[in-house]
Amino acid sequence: MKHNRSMQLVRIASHVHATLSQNPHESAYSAKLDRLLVQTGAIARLARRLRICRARRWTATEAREQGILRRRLSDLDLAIRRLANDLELRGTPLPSPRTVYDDIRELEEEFGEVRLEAEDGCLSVATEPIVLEGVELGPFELRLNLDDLARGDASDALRAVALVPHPCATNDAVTHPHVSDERVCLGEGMAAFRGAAEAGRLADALQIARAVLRTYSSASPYCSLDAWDGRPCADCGCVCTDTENHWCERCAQDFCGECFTNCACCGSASCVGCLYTCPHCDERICSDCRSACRDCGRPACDLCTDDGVCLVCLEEPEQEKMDDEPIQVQIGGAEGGDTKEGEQLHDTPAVVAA
Amino acid sequence: MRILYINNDGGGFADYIDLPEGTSVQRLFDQHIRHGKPEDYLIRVNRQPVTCDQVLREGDRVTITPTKIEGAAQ
Repeated sequence: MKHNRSMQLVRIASHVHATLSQNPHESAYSAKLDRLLVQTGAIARLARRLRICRARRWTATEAREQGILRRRLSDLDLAIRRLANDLELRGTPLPSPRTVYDDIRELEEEFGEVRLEAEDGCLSVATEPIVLEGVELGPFELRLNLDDLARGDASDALRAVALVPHPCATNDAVTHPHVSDERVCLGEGMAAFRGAAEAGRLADALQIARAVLRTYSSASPYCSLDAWDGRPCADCGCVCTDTENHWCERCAQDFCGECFTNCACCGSASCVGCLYTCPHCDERICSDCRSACRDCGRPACDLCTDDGVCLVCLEEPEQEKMDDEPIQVQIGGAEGGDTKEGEQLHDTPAVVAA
Repeated sequence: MRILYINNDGGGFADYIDLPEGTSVQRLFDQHIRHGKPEDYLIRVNRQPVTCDQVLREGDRVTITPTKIEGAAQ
């Protein structure tokens, strides 16, 4: 049994070594070199045009050409750095078949089992169940694409597949605070991972990736662990835990405490969107406690109506009644003056006779 | 003596370095990992986990890998 497993590991190591030895990034390197030569030629032509502009004092054209030159130089800088990186990779000796085998053995000891997916050329190991700050995220399968590695594209070679997915509540693609769409954002581990993967130190690369999965960086997660199991408020979108969430039975959605309140009349709980604002008292009321005034037809809450008539309409007849009542106007001095009935005060002030 | 030293912390480092005879894993750790404790790292010599008092020998392959690394969001 042990012998069989050793033979399997030898086969895996042999396949890994053969794939890494293909070095298909040779053609990519040549293409990058050609592109660099084209870019330098374009910059030389730009420099000639700039000299002409300056000599003939074409200031507007010169400014435009300088803008183009800045962009071209920036592109050239990027191209040079990429080519330098490729040259460095070409200088990195590939690990021997024995070293690859030792790496596979180390992975087997560290992770339990190493698998080679023949279809997509991935070397994969599984982590232990990951638990961060009490949130169970389950085990992850770390997959290293050997073809990507051979192309010198280590940063895109790694995938972390959740074996028992427990994604965050707001995004199914986020299965770990630092994993989205199976891509791990290695953060502080990126440089060391690239160095290890590009040198063919696969055991080191996968142990670095696991160290990232074992760690929670609260400063820069795809989704915060505080809100991992929460649900988004249907109104403002903020994520709340189960205890902070409120269920509105009127619209059958979840809401946060800020977007959920009670009807000022009957006290029934509801989201703010399902409540109306009474135009008389400005309180939030539910549809059951809101009715149209019998007189003016405007909506009002139960507290602002009496026998189906709103406060405004109730006050109006009283006002009219007051307006209809005769006002006693004092005639004469301040003391013992006569009063005359039958004079009304409407909008105009009363005339007081001396 | 010369050993292959692989540091998977920070930017990563892998090269042969010269050490005085009798250097222990703890001494190597203290010299190269300035801000860290050995218990936060997986230390292997010739691919085997070791204790800090192990004395290194000519040709050893030492790897130091942090057990926790802060990721990010792209």
